[in-house]
Amino acid sequence: MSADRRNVPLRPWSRTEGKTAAEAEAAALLDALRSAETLSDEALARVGRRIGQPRRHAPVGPRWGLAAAGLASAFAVALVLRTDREPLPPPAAATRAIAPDDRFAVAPPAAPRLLGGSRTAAEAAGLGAPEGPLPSTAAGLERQRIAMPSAAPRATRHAAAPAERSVAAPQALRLERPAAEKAMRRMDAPEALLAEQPAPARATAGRAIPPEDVLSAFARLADAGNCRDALGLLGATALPATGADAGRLLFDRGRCRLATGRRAGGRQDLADYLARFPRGPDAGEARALLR
Amino acid sequence: MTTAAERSAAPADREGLTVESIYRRHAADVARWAARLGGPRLEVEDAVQEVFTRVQDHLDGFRGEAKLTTWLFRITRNVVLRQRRRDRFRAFLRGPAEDAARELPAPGLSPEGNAEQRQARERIARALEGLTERQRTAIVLFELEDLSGEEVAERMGVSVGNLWVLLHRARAALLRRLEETR
Repeated sequence: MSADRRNVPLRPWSRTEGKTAAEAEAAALLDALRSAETLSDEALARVGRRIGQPRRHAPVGPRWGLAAAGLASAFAVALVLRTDREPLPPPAAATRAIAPDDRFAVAPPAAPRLLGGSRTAAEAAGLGAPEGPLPSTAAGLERQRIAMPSAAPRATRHAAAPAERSVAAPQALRLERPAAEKAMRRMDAPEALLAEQPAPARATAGRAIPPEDVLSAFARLADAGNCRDALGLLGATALPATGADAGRLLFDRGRCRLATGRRAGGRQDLADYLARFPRGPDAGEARALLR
Repeated sequence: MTTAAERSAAPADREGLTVESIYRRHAADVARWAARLGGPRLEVEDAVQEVFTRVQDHLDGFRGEAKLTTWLFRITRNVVLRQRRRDRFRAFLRGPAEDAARELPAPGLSPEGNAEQRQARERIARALEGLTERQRTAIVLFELEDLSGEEVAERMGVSVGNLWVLLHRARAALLRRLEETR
């Protein structure tokens, strides 16, 4: 057993005979401390008058400012970290704008044929087919919208749909990509893509896309057969329960879900569509897809 | 609502104890304990004021199960511990310039005597700073206050056997610290 573990009684060093040199030195130093005066009678009287009063505080030193700044910084960092952990907003509230590229190329919609005929709706309406190259960018889509104001595909055979489907503005389409990327769980891609974009595209960051624009762009992409991007754009945006486009949007989402392998959700959407619009323009196709 | 003055004047249930009477009898003891437990950086006046403010607040709850000096010592030790923690933080905030200012010699002492005494006190204080709170308390009570082992054990709330073990270790640690600061 080591010496410091013994529990034998001791005597104070000051009264111990035969101390070692180190112990004698320690005893002398402790004597110096013992003889130190603590408080004078005047000081004790002064303290006695202060009992029960708030203690006087040391003056503010130069590092108080640093400490306050440090606390403020820590609070700000904690706030930022907390914000980063919040769930992703739905695409309608996406805040980054990325210019479209070829991945968002929209295949030309097949010109719908009028029932029992060989003319397209555009031809029937006296409008020529859009000229020039096929639209492969948002600008192209916008040109197509201008050229075909009332010849949106399927518009003529959807009884409840308006004659013209509103098309997302180019700004909205530019905002599609990050939202789609987030929805597809490729969380790192939007950051890298954003960094690749030119400054003007980044300058629009922070804007939210109105839900109606998201729905319009979704319908447009779905019609063009770009189901993957259409669903990515749609994300968690709720479909309208009523309205002229409610049935068509529901059908499109179900069709696209099936096309991208999300069978359960797709079948559910198509079943809902049939339940709500048993005589809708897409009812036959919905039944065929469900089979 | 009773004022602080009224409360301080109100006698406790036991032996007519009042804050004033306790202060008159034990203020110097409390100041000495605080200075020895807290080291040279402790604001002894503040510690004494806080101790007796606590005494005033808790005198009605003092049941007399422990000796008055034991009760006062435990309050003093708690106050010193709290103040030492607070002072360490404040010393950092004040910065090195004000730390240096606090080390200036006290007025009224000759420079030579002051320097020697200061060196000795600083050295033993620095060595005591390196001990744990329990070890420092044991050394202060046993070596400086000249209390018996039983009295020290009572004030610290430990058994006498444990106190001897604690003291053996505290002495060994103190000697090591002094050797390091040689």
